[in-house]
Amino acid sequence: MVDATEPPAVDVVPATPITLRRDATPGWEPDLPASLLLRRLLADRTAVIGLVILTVLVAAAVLAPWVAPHDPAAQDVLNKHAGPSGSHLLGTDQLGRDELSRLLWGARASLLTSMLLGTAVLVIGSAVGTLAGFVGGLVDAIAMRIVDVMLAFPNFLLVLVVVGSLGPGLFNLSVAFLLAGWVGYARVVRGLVLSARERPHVETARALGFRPARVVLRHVLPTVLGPVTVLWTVRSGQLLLALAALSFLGLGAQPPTAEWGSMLNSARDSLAVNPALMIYPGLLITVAALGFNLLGDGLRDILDPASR
Amino acid sequence: MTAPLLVVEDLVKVYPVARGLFGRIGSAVRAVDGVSFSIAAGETLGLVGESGCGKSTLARCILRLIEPSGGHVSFAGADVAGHRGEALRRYHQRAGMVFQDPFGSLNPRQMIGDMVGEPLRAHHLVGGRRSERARVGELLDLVGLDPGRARSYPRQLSGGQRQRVAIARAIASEPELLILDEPVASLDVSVGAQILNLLADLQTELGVAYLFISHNLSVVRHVAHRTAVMYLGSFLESGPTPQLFDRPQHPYTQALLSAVSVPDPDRERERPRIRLTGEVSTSLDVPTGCRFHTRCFRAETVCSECEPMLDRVGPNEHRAACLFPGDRVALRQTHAAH
Repeated sequence: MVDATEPPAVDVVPATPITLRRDATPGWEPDLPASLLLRRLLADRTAVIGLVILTVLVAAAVLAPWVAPHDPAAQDVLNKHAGPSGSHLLGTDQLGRDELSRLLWGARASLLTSMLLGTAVLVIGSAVGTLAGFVGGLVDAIAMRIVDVMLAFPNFLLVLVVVGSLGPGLFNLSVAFLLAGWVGYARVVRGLVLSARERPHVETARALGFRPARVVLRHVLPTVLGPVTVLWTVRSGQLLLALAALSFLGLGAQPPTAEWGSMLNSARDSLAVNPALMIYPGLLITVAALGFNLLGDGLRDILDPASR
Repeated sequence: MTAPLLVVEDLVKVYPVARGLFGRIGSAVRAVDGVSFSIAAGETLGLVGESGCGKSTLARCILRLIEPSGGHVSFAGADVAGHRGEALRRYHQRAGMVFQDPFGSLNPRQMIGDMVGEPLRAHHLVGGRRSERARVGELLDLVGLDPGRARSYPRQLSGGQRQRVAIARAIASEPELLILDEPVASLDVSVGAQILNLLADLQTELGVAYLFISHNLSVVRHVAHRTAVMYLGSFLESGPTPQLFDRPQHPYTQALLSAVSVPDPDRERERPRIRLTGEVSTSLDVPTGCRFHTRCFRAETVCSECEPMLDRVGPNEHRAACLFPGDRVALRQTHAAH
């Protein structure tokens, strides 16, 4: 007989809590609904930091006309290189213009332009890529040969040629980037569309007799959206840096337009007198680029758990 | 007899492979190699064959999801090869398809109701939002789903439920023909049986004809009025289902049927089986003569030289593409006589 008072021979192992990871499924998961993606995005620290940086900067850029304390072009030559004060929170530049106001307005020229440009490039490139990938045949062949030719040119050379013939200026520079930039998207989107059109639910949509436009817009493009969003973030960051670099070289925004790159350039002369004038725009360019990259990394991780 | 709904004549689909630098076409995969058959309105034609024999390619060619390389497909008396744009869409409205994979064939971002309503909108079959919602409810009800499911996403449904959604979507435009490409292959047996019953009910109710593709002989025997056996892109035998299953005339069909297990273990043990030997050919390299002769237990020298036609071997259009068709029993007797 077993003595009832005797303790059990086997120790009861303390139960370890079993945590069910939402992201336990391996492989690319582009098909999660938007709400779940948003929740994951907010749980990803990298992405959230990037998102916060960009949100703050974009808000500053959009609200610049209302929050900027001074006219960014108003000169006050008697008060140049002033240090921070109550009326000029970040001091004044070499022409006595309010530095904070110029930085805020500069966010429009730098950040908003690069984001708009990034979007325009995405739309054109995606349109060409989708058309080539979905229609195929001759359309695909012609579009991709054009892309090949464009890719054979070094991108910067192309930009310099266009700016050289149109003349410097933020608008002309944007045109140059637009001409050079859509190619990369077209290539990538074409590949994504090619694989998407073989997916069963896209084939089903075709078998149901839907118009090609419906098949593309409702069934192909949504599956392409994830990777394209990642690409958009990364490209916009690159565009921001390139715009600033070319403006620094005098090919982009022309004085007196406030733009971070050209502000860096004009601050060079007074580096010894007032180094802060270089630090502020330089820091903003770095932080904004960082924001794009962090968000891009975070998005990629969310959309492709295999990369973790 | 009325004219058949779907007539397929000598359908061919060739995929060129090993394309050289200057577009030279090397060898070619003959995925579908001269297939002819017809389906009457309200009828089920079962199509069986091993993986890679061209069943799905044939299905896609019929619906022109891929372009056939040769032959004719006519639906309700009209050749579908000339259909472009609107005409092709109207064809797809009358002839639909349900795919094997209920996980992949539904757009993961679309709610069920939206998905089932989409064909109604695309083909202008409903007046407005309200009548669409009502019709979607009817359709979901018809396939045995709670109309309240309209607000679910595919990932919230089980495999069987998803396949019901795929069916609801396919019948939304009231097609006369549905091509069912392995509709139950990726489902549990019990769930698959429910889907088969649903399909049978829908056929009685709506009078829709099915081309039922499967590699599962028992399933085909259960649902099909007529059955065709496909091997390396070509039909080897076709006929009324009971006749084909009871008295198969082609050695390949006989071998396939001998591989189906019997539930009774005693009978299963004693059941005579045909074990095929020889290398499995691919459609990249279809053997000369009879395409099955490399694996056939009844092959003679002539089989590697002459390609047999799909000839009548019995009543009711029972046809087999074999130079030596015959019953297994009769065959064994002739062999014993030698």
